[in-house]
Amino acid sequence: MKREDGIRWLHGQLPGLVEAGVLSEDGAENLRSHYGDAKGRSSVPLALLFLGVFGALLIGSGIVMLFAHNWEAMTRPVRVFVSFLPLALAQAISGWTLWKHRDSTTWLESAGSFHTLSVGASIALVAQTYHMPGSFDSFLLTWMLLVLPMVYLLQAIVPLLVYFAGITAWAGYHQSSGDHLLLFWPLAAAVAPFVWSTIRAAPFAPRSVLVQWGGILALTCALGMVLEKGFPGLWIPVYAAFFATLYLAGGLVDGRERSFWQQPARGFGGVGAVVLVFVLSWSWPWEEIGWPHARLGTRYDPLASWWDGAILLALLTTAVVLAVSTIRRRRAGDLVVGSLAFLMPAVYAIVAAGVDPELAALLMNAYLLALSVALVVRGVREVRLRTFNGGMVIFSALVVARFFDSEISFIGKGLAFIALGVAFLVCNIILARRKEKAS
Amino acid sequence: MIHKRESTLHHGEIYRFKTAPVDPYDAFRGRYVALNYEESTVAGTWPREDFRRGRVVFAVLGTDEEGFAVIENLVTAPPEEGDFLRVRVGYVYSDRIRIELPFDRFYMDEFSAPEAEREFLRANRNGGAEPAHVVARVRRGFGVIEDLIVGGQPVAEWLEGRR
Repeated sequence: MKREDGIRWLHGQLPGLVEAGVLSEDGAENLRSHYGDAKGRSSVPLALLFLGVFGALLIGSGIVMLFAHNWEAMTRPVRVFVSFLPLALAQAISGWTLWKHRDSTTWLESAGSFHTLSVGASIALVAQTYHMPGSFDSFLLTWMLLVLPMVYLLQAIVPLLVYFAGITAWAGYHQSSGDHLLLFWPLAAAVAPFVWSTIRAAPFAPRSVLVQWGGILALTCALGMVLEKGFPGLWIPVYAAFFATLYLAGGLVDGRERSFWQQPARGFGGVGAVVLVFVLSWSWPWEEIGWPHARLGTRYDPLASWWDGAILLALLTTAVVLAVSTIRRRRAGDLVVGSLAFLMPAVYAIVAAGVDPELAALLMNAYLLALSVALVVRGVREVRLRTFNGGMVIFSALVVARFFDSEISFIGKGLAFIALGVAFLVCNIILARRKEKAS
Repeated sequence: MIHKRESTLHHGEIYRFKTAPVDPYDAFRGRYVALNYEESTVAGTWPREDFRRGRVVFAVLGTDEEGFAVIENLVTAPPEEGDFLRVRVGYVYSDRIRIELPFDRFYMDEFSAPEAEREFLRANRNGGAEPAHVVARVRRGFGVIEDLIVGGQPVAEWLEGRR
């Protein structure tokens, strides 16, 4: 039960307890003053919050669309004046919110949503009035840089989520310009202090969970785009280290009683790592990778290519620190997934050094098989259905993928399937006998 | 941002750039006519180290006998005399270079923009469509579009006449 729910429950119980003579009137009053008023606590009326935010977003989008129509009849000075109207209105609302409703999440989030969209509408109309050049990415970049101060001023989540989406979309559009994407990192780092303080304040609060999901999804999408790709296949160790780091970082707070959705780092990091290993269980991603195939010619920026290496190094360093902390906290089990941060760069290195890509694919298959069996066994032993099902899903996916894998000969596949089937039956018999003995 | 454009529109020199209008869409800024200039490709061989993709260079402007703008030269530092435009280098070929002129779009009313493209293509198909061009003001390397001229008239009037 949440603390707020508990307090509300206690408040409901007190009159009954006083009536039954279990508690004196003074005692009840002392309890009330000790725990505070249940209604006064941050029981955010969720419906109000959603209505406020969606209302603000709809009005803001409506203004964007009205402006996009392009009212040619208006003269240039009139258009410039009109461009600033929504912005002025949004600033007035935000100012009023900071002055009068600083503690209201509904006000802060609604004002933030409207302000974010009016900034976009204003710069769009000025760009339209002066036929300003520039593709969609430069528009997005200007917009996001103007949204950034709002995240800190209003301490609101909606502008932050728009910012995450905006810088990711910027990376996507800017990719086609042929330019490098190094700017993404300072853009992402600019919101890091806010993200960090939000998560630290209450890691499982809905606000914090939303921020984590937004940030993780944005980083997962952007990571592949911002890599310069001067070293082919570098995405393999980078993504492995990224997911493993997320998984280990998620383990820093005890979330055993929490759902998958409440712990995005651990949940998404774990699932991401397994999906990545699954993709790498084919041999094609491992072909022609590493420094022997480096392309540092004119089309690839050398600085950005080396920066890719720096990203990997930073992720690996974080993973080492987290792994040590994981072992110290006696949660070595987490290293089954966490160790991928080190395993994958090692495999990448040996394939780049000339080892057959088939071997790398085989290792990935062996890893997935071992992981699925370990999960199933643990699920049975600890009677945890989620773990058991997770293991079964990985195992089934692996079997289906290999059954349809045209790269392996039918004889090889046939023998491997029969061997696995026999192994499973033997395990089943042994488990059943043990259970019989135990009972 | 606004002041620089207003002063260019008031004090800048007029240049006409030949173009062909096509109609794309921008969810935020609305419909516009994308401008595809004949002058965006400049013949010649250029040193690779100074003319890499994305670099800023300066296009020295002149006019041809019909009065349309031509790019006479590309230089790496702003020239002391004459009009010029600050441009970005696009693709570099062995015998020519593509540059990105600082006016690639002309925003129009959402209904007029597709109509402008359609009418322009129709007029062109029947032959004899006057070359469309953009009237831009240029000042201190900076250019701002004033109007899009089709069939000798501002595009809005030209469309009105064909309706």
